[in-house]
Amino acid sequence: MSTTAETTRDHAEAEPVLTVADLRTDFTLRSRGRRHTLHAVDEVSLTLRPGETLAIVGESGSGKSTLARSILRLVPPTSGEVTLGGRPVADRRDRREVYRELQMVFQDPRGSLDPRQRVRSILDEPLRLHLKMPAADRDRRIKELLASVELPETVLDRLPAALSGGQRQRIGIARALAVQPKAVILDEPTASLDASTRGVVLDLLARLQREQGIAYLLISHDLQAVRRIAHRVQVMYAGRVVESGTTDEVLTNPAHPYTRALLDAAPVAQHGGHTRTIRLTGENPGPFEVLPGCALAPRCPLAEESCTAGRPPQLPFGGTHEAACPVIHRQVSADLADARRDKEDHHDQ
Amino acid sequence: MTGKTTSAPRTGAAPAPGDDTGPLLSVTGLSGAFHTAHGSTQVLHDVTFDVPRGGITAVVGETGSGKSLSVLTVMGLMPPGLAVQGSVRFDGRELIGLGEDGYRELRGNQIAMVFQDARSSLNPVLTVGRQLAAVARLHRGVGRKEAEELVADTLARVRIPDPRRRMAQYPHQFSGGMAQRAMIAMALLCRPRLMLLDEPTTGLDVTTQADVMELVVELARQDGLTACLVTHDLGVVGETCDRVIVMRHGRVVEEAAAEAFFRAPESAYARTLLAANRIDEAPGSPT
Ligand SMILES: Nc1ncnc2c1ncn2[C@@H]1O[C@H](COP(=O)(O)OP(=O)(O)O)[C@@H](O)[C@H]1O
Ligand SMILES: Nc1ncnc2c1ncn2[C@@H]1O[C@H](COP(=O)(O)OP(=O)(O)O)[C@@H](O)[C@H]1O
Ligand SMILES: [Mg+2]
Ligand SMILES: [Mg+2]
Repeated sequence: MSTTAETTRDHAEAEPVLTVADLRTDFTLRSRGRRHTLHAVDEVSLTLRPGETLAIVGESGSGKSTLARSILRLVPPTSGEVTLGGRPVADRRDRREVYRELQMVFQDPRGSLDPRQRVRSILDEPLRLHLKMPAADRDRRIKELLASVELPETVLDRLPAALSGGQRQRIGIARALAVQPKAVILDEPTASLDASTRGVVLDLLARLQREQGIAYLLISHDLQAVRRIAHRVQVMYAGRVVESGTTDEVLTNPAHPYTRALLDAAPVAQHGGHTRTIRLTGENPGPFEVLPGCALAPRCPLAEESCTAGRPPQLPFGGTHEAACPVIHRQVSADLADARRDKEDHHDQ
Repeated sequence: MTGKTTSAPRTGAAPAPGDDTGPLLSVTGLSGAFHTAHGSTQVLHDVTFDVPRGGITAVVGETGSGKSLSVLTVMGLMPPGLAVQGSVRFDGRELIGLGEDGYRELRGNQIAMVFQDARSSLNPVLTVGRQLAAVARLHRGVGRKEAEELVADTLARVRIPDPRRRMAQYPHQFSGGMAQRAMIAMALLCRPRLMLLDEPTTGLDVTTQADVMELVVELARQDGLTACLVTHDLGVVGETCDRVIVMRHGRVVEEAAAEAFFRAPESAYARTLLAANRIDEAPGSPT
């Protein structure tokens, strides 16, 4: 898609809104009297630029939510650095300062909205607390916010329970946008919605981004949603990034066996579906064991002895595309060399 | 209005019990309403559909469309307050009005159900092996030793590795996908003729979901099991089902062979649903 490529180039020139460098978040668990350390987020780096959507993709337990929570310091990261607008988040004395620039929309608006608070007061709170806006201005701004998420003013006096799932998620979005943040983390924003509502909410998010230049860090296991609104994608497995690139690079030409299996497992809405070509063994164990080599190796049909020896490096696959799989990299390089040789032979004749 | 756009004519008279040419399950004119002190709300309107013998029939629709209530009614597991009318024929035999004893016999030996959240359907304080063995002893009339053998075999059939070790474990030691396989094994132990699966893979990871659905398809193809799969995911339907019943607001709006359905759904609603399930194909995005 040329549009995606162009936009990605535009984004590449702007100063990043958010950067994450080698972030690690460990949890210590106790089981049968023994202590285990679990690297829920394991040396993750990312850059988010104004107006772009970076998707973090992976199945449950891969560390996506912990990454989001660590960025916002809702859980303390073990090591690594997060900078917002060029300044380390760790240096900010006041968490409110962080929230003015970076907001979050949660998966289940039912859990993230106070059930006793009416919509008016849900939207009033950030304006009052974070922006210290006078009452008269707040009233006007609340109406603006409602209009921006395409809700009628009649919802203002309702409680969250009296709204549909899609309406609740719009309120969650409006609340996040109230402080005019530079970036918003969307943690599975459509996972609790029906298919038809899901598309509408994704389109709404895309429109708000175009109008306001907000950057999104979209956390999702919904590859369709990612295709629809993300410019770039990073795939996580067991706390680590295994593949990254533009949406096209990663989802049209997946390199890593995990990404391939993920795409291959997605059901296709057509009769007879499709034939799966790559299968992983067993289920995602989560980051329970700290493995010296590739975390996927125990489940990977392509695994070789060397895969368990050391952690695979990120290898280039052309453009901005990178994946941490030496086996696939060798295959692809060999195919390319073959193609080149064929072409030269053709020339010689 | 019946809301049905099926092209297949319904057989006039219901087949006699034991006649194995008609549909295995026939739901006709099923209506249901919740009666409370504040009045009554009708949630099922003249629901009519067939589940033919063999193969997998899907019941699809968005949340609240009446899918679960329809299949729960087939099992005689209506929630309190739901009053139903109409006809549900299983293998030619009328089920509406069957007493609790009749349903119990049916649930054990003829129809089995698998629910969405497998782990919460299992008893947390008993090992998985013990729960399955109890089912085997009850429904297969076998002794303890034999029941254990049967459970181990059935767990192997649903491709749970190392079944003997797994049998000694508690539900919380099972992953979501493993727990769902164990529930399918429990259903199989009853040797049912019809298996009802209500959103059996919702909440599971996509790779696990694909594995569990593959297992269901394999069981239907190899063992001639008839399955009725309730889902909101048309992708899952496309991958696995032979027939599609679309519900909306408590009504059946379309009933068709899967092949015809995915080629050209008849109702405008089904076309909308299909488009919503293929949102990544929408033009002009991302910009
Ligand atoms: N507060 C916590 N304490 C201990 N373990 C946790 C905590 N939060 C998350 N985890 C574990 O970290 C891993 C990653 O979880 P999470 O970030 O929620 O993944 P995802 O959002 O990708 O599903 C999981 O194994 C999870 O059980
Ligand atoms: N126990 C109940 N009491 C009252 N209403 C119910 C109950 N169970 C379901 N309903 C209502 O009946 C309708 C159909 O529900 P259900 O069959 O569960 O839908 P689906 O399975 O398609 O999501 C919904 O509007 C739901 O709110
Ligand atoms: Mg999460
Ligand atoms: Mg349901």
